[in-house]
Amino acid sequence: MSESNKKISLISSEGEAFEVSEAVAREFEIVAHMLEDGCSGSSIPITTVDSNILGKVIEYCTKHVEVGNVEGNSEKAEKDLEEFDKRFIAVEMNTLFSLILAANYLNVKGLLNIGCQKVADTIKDMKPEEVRSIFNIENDYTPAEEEVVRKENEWAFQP
Amino acid sequence: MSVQRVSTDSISSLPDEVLGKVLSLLPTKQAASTSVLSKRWRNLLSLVDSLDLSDDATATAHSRRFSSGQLDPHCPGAKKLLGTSLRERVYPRYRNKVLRERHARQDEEEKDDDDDSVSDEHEYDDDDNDDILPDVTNLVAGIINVKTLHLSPKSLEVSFVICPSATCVNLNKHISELLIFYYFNIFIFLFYLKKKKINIWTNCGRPCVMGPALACLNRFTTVKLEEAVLLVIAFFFFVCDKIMINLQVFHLYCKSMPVFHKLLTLSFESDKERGWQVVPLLLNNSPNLETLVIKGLVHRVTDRCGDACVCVAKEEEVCCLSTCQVKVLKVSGYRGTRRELNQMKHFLGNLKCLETVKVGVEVENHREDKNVNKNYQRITNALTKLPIASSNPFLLIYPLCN
Repeated sequence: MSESNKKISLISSEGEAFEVSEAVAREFEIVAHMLEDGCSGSSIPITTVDSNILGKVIEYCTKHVEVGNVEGNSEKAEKDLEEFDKRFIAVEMNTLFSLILAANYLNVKGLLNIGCQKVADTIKDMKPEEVRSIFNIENDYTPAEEEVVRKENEWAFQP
Repeated sequence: MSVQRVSTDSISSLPDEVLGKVLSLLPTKQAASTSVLSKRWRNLLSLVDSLDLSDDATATAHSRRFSSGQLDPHCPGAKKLLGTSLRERVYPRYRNKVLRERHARQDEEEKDDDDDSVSDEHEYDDDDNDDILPDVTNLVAGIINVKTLHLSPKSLEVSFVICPSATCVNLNKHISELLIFYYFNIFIFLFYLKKKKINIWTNCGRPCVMGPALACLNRFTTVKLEEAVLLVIAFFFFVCDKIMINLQVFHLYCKSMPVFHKLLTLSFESDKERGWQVVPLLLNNSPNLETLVIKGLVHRVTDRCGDACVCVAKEEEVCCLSTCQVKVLKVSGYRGTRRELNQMKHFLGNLKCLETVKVGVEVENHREDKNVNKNYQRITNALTKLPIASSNPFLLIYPLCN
């Protein structure tokens, strides 16, 4: 695993540098693409992600790279990883959204998946009114407009 | 589960693709219900990349919706249940055509095993047909991006049972019949997309491969639409940049029409028995339309024509033509009546991006007499004097012999 020896600095929006191995940085697909495109610099600015979130994303990627490198015993490792994901994503909603945004921007597929799954799990089986209330979504339809939309998707509201 | 509330609406500020992903993880029914949350959420269903209709309740709700009220509860079998009702309600206008085609085919194949569910006479009421398709169209519009589809054995069975009369067909020739069931066929298509090849059992138990025909559809860039329903599939595949439509059938799909981003050329033929109700909708939903080809301007006056024509003046509304990007307007079969002139005036006065206008004037050629020429001159003169909205279009008027 010679490639993992190389270190890359990821710079957060505040300018803080996070030094990670290339293998971890490559978990960020956006970084992987940069590297493949010949961007050989050792520090990469991630201007849209703050230190707090970037740190978390790196934590996630590091764990996944570590587990991915362990040979054998895959079942247990997978279970561990699942546990890790579960704990990792159990954050308050605003952090979750920030993580999703970052994962989407950096193109960390696994994290994006578990993030979206978490949101979906939260919404699941809720009525629209409950979803609105939980996420503080302002209903900007007029009653008449809402009626139209309801009508359009009538089947979705039938029990 | 305890869920803390969020003080700001940060979920709505997530990018479309992320919300699409979230919705993809929900049962499709619930995903559709999020459209009422707020305007931000209204059209997100189209981003869903996986459709989960495995929920039996959903499947049966659909079936109920499409069959309720029209079917004979004693009808045996799902085919009759849904097939008949759809046909009776939505497509009676084609029924004769379908029947004719079927009889023609019967002669060839003498294998027609279809029932006689459509042979009873049924008077068709023009105003009564708009209520059944909109949410199908919606659903279709909503699943354009679907990459994977989960169907429970039950819904799968229904869609397969529904299709038999649509299976052993040459797709081009018998498209109408095939597409009568397009709603269900969409599932088949999706299924096909994933599996590349699909066996569909006809009701006589003969398997039939639709693969090659569907593969053709997928490659179309120009689709000539005998039946509007093909359009549904065409935009489902999202490959068309040129569409020719039949207004007579298209107006069934007026409501909740999706946006045709790829549509560049739209052609249609007017019929004095039919209104232009759908034209404004089409124009409004084709943001990139460049060429409009119209054969004949005379159409039936209806109060639902909208503002693409001058049938009924509506002062207060913004004319749909004024936002239209059409650069080329081709009109053929122009006879120069006052109504047609008014219509041309309407087009020229409102289409702001016009670069080229071609008008084929229909002149009678059987007698070489002066009147014909004079008439043609008169029509041409009247046209060239019309006020024009766009800066400097190229106006070409030429005689069409008939």
